[in-house]
Amino acid sequence: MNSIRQILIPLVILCFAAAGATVAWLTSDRPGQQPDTEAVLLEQPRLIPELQLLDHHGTYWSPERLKGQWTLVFFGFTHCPDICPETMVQMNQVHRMVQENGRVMPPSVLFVSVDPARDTPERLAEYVPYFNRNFLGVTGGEAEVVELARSMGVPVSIPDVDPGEDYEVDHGSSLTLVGPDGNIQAFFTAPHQPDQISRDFEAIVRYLGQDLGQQHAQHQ
Amino acid sequence: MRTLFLALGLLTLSLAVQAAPPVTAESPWVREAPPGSSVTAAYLDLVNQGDETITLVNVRSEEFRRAEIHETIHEDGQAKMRAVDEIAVPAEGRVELKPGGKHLMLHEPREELSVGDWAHLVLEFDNGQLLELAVPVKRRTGRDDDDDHHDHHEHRGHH
Ligand SMILES: [Cu+2]
Repeated sequence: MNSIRQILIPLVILCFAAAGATVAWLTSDRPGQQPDTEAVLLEQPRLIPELQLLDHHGTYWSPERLKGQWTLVFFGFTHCPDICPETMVQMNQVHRMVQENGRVMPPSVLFVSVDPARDTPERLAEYVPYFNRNFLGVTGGEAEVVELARSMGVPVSIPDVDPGEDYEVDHGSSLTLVGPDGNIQAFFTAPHQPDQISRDFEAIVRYLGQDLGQQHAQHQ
Repeated sequence: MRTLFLALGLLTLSLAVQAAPPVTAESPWVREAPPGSSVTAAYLDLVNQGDETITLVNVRSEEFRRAEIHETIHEDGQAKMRAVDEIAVPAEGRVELKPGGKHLMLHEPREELSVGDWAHLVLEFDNGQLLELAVPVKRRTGRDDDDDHHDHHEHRGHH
């Protein structure tokens, strides 16, 4: 009887310990392992071509400005009544969720106008801060906007019409996640779910590192 | 006497019909247009309490020069907004008009509308029913100081 107990007790303890360790392992952050996300995480980060646009303060903007923080980029136009303001709303929700979770720094948000004929920096200066004063809007030459969009896999069809007319600009609805290294790291495809995006954003930032480069090197 | 009863009966019947129209609108709201924007949208749930499909065929608003029935669709990775001719509300069914989906597009406001204002919509259905609505203008920015968070639009599984 005694000998059975002598074997059984350590065995039970061992079982509990093993179970505990498994749970700890399953729930812990495993930075070495690619996170399971709805987002499309690029194995090979993609470069953004050098180009120049104007931000909503009227200052020159180039993709160089994306370096140093994580940024969510999306495309839209201010004469869009439904999906564009709604994407702004969702970006605010993502921003707030990440902030409230407190695990990683919330992303910067960049709104790129696909309607540069009507969306002047002055117009963006009214539109973008209405949603969030920390979000940045950029506009500029049609060719530059289309080039930036293309580098992010976002199709844009700017119609050849008079800016005074009433027209729509069909555009890709995916969000692009740019890392602090200034390279494209991931995409989020529509329809967008703010809670999903914030979870995926946190997972990706923790996997690749808050400041990319350095922390990422440590993980390998 | 019989005529009087008949008249009373008809009156009661017509009152009953008016009291419970086959199609009603729930939680209607108009998005406050961001500054400088000349277009916006109205959203609501259409609820059909009748036992036949009823179709929304027209919309107008005295505060806007033009109103249209619209739908935002996701196609080939693109978001596209299109005018549609009608929205069918199935018998004992409900159709949600919500951000990123079906909506009532409002062009060229006669005056700038902001949060606290009301817009008046007239919805016309294929059975001849007219639904007149006074609709509050709401600010929706996604910040936590919005006057209404429209939480029921954010539950997962709506898409
Ligand atoms: Cu529309």
